[in-house]
Amino acid sequence: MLGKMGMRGRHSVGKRIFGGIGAFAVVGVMLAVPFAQATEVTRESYKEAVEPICKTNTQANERILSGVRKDVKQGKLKLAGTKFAKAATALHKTLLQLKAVPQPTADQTKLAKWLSYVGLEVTLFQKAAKELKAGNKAGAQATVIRLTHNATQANNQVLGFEFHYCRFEPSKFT
Amino acid sequence: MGRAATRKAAVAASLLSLVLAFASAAIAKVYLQKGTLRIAFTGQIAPRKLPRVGSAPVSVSVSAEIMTTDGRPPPQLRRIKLEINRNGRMDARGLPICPFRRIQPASTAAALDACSSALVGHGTFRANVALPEQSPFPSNGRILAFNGRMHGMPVILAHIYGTLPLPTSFTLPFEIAQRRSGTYGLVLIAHLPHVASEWGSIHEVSLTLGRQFTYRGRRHSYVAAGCPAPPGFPGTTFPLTRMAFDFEDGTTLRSVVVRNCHARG
Repeated sequence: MLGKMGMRGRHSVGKRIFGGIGAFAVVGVMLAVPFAQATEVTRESYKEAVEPICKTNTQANERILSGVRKDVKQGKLKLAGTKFAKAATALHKTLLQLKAVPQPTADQTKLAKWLSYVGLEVTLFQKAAKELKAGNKAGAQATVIRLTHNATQANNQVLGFEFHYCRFEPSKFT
Repeated sequence: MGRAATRKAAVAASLLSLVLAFASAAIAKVYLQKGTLRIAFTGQIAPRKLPRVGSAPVSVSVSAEIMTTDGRPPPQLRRIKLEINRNGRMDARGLPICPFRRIQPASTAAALDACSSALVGHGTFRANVALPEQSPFPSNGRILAFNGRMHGMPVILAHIYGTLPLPTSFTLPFEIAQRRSGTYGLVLIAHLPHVASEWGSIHEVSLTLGRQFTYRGRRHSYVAAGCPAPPGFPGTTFPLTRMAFDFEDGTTLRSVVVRNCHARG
């Protein structure tokens, strides 16, 4: 077809194609701007996305860790260790879900730090579980102190988000 | 005051001291934020190594810093509520009571002269003083805490004295209440008067409570605490205090401070 039209025709078709693409691009840009604005992740939308995830984890933890303080006082360390291990698994699942949530660009550094603290919290829960199961009282106590301190640091990272469920409250259980 | 009343005051004081002691067990700052308003709270207890059974004398230091993330002056603080863990003890038995009128109004030196025997703590404050048509300027001064009583109830009288823009004293009573059950056995509440807001706002307060004294030949400590860790554990973590700060614009900031202690024996 191009051979039949010759150079002039080809140029003309080219003009039409680019003209069409140009018009399409303008319309596309016009459409894309409000579209981009609609999908832009803000602190508020991020909070709306992550709070239900954290709420589920909080409720699970309340169930899993209920009575753990009493278990430790009564010397039932293996049972307490099992509860800590379950809590670690639940928090790990939550962490994976939180990582999948798109973040506001301006807060990416802050949220990366926060998620690293959440990751450390998982590790510390696992460590405390192992120590409790092994009857290592001194080790478990030291780990719980680190866990509590790490929770405070995690909370301090995301102050501006004013989280309710995504704030760690180890005092409820430890 | 009768002996029974003194005993009640002593029990209340004991609880308060315990709570305070627990609150200061850790140095890490706890931040609270709502909107642009932010509070940094720290607490410390000394010593941190405490008996597993019973209690030992301690001093408790707490401090709060009020700020905003946008640099604007913070709203006026109207109420501070501190609920303290019940594993603490306050003992004011035999400790003289400082009458409110003796220290209000008074300079720091005059308040000390009048009530040094009832002194249970000390601290500092920083404020931004606002005068009409002038930029706010910083002011700071000392706080003295006295064992007191108001309306028949035990209180801690926090005497604040500043010299800028004019020498002014202000005494803030912390009411002491007890709860029979729950994690927190002692409740301290201070209401800040509205009049203070006309001068500007207090944005940093620190206070250390603790005193040892002799009564009827026996040593007493205004604040005492233990570290009731389970057998075999070298220490424990515990919720030291639950705090609530109410501001004039209706904002309330709440948080729990968790601390740890080392068990002895």
